[in-house]
Amino acid sequence: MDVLTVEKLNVTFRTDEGLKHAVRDVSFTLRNEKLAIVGESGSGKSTVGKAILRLNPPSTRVTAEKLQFGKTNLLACNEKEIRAIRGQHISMIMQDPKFSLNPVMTVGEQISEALSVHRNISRREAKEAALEMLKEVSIADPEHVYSQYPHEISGGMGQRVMIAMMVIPEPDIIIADEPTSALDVSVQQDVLNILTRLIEKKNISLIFISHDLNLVKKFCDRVLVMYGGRVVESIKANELSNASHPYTRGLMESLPSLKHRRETLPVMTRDQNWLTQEYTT
Amino acid sequence: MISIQSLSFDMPGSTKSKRILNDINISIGKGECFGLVGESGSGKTSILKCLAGQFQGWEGAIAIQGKSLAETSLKERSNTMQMVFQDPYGALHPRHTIRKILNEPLAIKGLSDKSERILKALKDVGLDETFLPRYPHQLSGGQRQRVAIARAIILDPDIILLDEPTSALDVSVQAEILNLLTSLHRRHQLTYLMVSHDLGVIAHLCERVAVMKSGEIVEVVSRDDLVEGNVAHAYTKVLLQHALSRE
Repeated sequence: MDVLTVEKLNVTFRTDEGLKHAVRDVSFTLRNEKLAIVGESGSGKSTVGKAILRLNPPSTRVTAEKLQFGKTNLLACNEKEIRAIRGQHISMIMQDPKFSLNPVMTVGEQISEALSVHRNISRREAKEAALEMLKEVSIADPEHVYSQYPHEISGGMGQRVMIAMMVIPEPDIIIADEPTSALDVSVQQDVLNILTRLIEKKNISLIFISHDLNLVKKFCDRVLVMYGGRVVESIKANELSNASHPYTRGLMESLPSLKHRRETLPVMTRDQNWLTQEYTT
Repeated sequence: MISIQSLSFDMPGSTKSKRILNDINISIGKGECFGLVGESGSGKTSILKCLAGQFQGWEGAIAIQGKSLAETSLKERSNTMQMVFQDPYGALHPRHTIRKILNEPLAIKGLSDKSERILKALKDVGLDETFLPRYPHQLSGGQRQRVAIARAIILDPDIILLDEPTSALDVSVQAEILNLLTSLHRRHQLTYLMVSHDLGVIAHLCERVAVMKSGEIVEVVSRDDLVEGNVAHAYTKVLLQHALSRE
């Protein structure tokens, strides 16, 4: 079933140097899957994620032929309707938990608050459910963490708390923007495992925005590769090593490898055509 | 070239100090590329900061080319040792042109033939004189890191301390910078001490790697041992497994 359909999405920013066309004719369909959007900085991958939830700054111009979420036409939604969708039906996990959690509220209060916004429950029930949720994201001592402030917990723990908050309303889609790139390698895997377990259990579709090709190769089902605001290739994650677009291949080859060390790493020569040429499979 | 013996460092805190380096012993030969790998907070950057003089009050003995670091003035130290930082956006003065940025170390040393040295350093890192009047914000991340590297090599040091030199860069730019570091190493007979959290990057450049955890070195392994999986410590195995699982 198609959860989200995006057709010819275009995003333009107003900057000091004039208009910047950050996303160009991006089209994709999200099913019940883990879809990755990968690209280098400035490729427009985060802008796509934000445009779906209308989170770009007000001066941004977003146009699309279609932005269909289930039965809802996101393009026709007013501000109030969009707010009802944010969090409840489509939620977002940002890169750094340090900046997405409220620094002057305990972790537990924030989760409880998220619960009581979305469900009509008492404070005590909210607290119990929050503790339950902390247990779900593999936090060993939920009672203790409940009463801690964000600066007192580690990055990995913070990101688990974020996941707990985002999963609570049982949304249909989670958009995760580089959720593990601020974390150490040994906790990255734990966080990804927790995310996988929860989205599978609750039947949530995932849009996973990342710059890390090796990570999405293992973690996701399908990959959209973005370059210069366009999707240059759409490919099954486990076929990334056999990608056909020169940009995707270039990215894969430029990574240093432990097993096959090369004295000099291949350096990509960018082709002007990648910005305009239609890619066909 | 670099000899570090029982180096310990306590970070002074408001109530009590915290030990962030404990009994570090490393010996790095001339022309070697030596890596430090570990998680955030493991103390890898702190070792560089002790060497560079950013941390004072460490215990133990550090000798550079046989000369005790404690008895070397900062000015002398900068002749032999230079550092490249992680964040190319923060490492360059935003209101100085590239010319001024590269001129600064030469002016401090009171060196002559500044223009020639600046041009040579720029050429060494693959840039040209058209960059001289520009400001850092007019450069891409990779170009900025090249300028930072040019600034480090302009005084012709023997040792370069590299603190995560590519982790803020895109993978395609990372490849360019790693290639540049490889070729500079060869051409200038440099000794590298590089910090990274990425085992793949470390193993690409370094022949030997010290694995750090909680302020201590748990193991020193060679690149060949890493590739063959000849590692003893459980934590090294975790890092290695993670790196291999993603290839």
